Amino acid sequence: MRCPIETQENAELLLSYSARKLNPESTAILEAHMEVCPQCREFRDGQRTLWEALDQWEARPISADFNRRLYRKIEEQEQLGWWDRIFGAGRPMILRPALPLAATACIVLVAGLMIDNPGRVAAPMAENPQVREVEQVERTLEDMEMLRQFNLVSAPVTEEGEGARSM
Amino acid sequence: MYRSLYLSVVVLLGLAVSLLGQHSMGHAPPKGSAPAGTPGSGKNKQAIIDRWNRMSPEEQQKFLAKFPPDRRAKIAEQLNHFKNLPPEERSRPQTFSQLPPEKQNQARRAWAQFGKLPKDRQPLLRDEFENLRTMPEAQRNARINSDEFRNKYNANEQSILRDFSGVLSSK
Amino acid sequence: MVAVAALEYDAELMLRVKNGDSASFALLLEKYRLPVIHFLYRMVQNHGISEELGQEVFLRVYRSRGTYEPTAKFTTWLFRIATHLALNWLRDGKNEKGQERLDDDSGESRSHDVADRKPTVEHSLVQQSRLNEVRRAVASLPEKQRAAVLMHKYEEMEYTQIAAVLNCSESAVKSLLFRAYETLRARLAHMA
Repeated sequence: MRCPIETQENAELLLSYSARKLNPESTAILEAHMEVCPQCREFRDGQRTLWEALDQWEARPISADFNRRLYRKIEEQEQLGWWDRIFGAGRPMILRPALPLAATACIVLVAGLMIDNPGRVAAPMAENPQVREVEQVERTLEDMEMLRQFNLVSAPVTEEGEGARSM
Repeated sequence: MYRSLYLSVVVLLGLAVSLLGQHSMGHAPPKGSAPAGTPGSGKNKQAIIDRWNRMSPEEQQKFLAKFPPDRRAKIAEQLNHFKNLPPEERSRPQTFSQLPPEKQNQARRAWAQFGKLPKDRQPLLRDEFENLRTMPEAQRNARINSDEFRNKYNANEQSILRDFSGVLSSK
Repeated sequence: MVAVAALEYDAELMLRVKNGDSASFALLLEKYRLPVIHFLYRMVQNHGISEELGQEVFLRVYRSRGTYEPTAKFTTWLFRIATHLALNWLRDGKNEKGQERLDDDSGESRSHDVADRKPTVEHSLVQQSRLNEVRRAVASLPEKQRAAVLMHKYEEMEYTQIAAVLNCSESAVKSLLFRAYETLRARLAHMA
């Protein structure tokens, strides 16, 4: 075997060996080489000392409120995201005069549509009762099939034979 | 120039708000239908089953005619099946409807996802749920968070079982 | 088989986060917050900063959920973000401040060790001294070598994955590791 120390490309063999990740076959070959190569033996011993020293470096537990702080940041971001981008102090200069114009145009458009189509908003009131009944039956059957396959509402009978209690 | 633009925005905003206000006053919620998940809708469910049971064959045909043709046979089959269930099973929808709306919707979401699973996976999840159902809550949570559970079910399946188990939870 | 399943599981979870499933994000957070923060701590050697950077890592994961594509392992993407943030922090010149805090942190670690192991005072001092040497040795490494060593030793990542995180070739990673371990061996040889 060519000495791994001399061929840097093969030095990973020694690294893997030190970390106990080398396959059994390569391990046997390397250990046989180490019997005759003091440099490789020295590498192995030095690397093991290093691993042991690094093993002692334990990290401290994470703060108990880490998750809470993260979720708060996420929530803040979600709430301020679009507002902050569009209306915040840091919004691009080009938006500043364009925004009032765009807002005016939108309001005029919406107001115009609402004046012209008073009936559209009230459409749900005219829902067909037959359609509602069909939907209700479908929903009922879905729920009943779900409850037949997944009993979500009653506890199982205990070994003592007590009756099931419902939730 | 910009000052006049801002003023026009304010005026138009006021106009829009007043228009919105007029429309909302004439806006009543639809009557006659209990929103999904509210208490009382369980009685409607029970009423549907009971009504079907009391119908003559002709009335049943008339009732089924309201549904799309491809659904009629399945609906009849399901209604007849539920007619023959023991009382404690027939009362489940009513009990279910007494759960908080968010729990009912949680169960329905999980059910919708369950229906999309491959057919060979569905019995596994049913069995697992039945297993979870028999456990005390703490044991159930431990099971759901175990490596064995995570290795046995993919993320979607875990989510389904977690949602169903959440309905059983006392919280 | 289990490792492959775990890989798919993480990517699946992240895809579910993309679809709005916040419970899957919670699962990923629970699974990876420790390794990420520990990695960051060993990079910047400051507990407070490591948690701040850790928060930023998961914030970016969450913010990027809409455009997430599982083109690489989830952990590769995660540690790429973490490494990027750590390297930026180090290069922003806060390194000096972080180094100054090294001694403050060592004080905290000492109390932590004493609380857990109840050694003699002398043993505790020796232990602390050794720990400080290890930390200084790692801190002395160039940043990329440091990142490579920490991923290789503590996260047990393969060369290919470290290469993907550091955006370099596998042979470059092997060179980084070889030089890094050579330096560390020389500095810590007396600890044998």
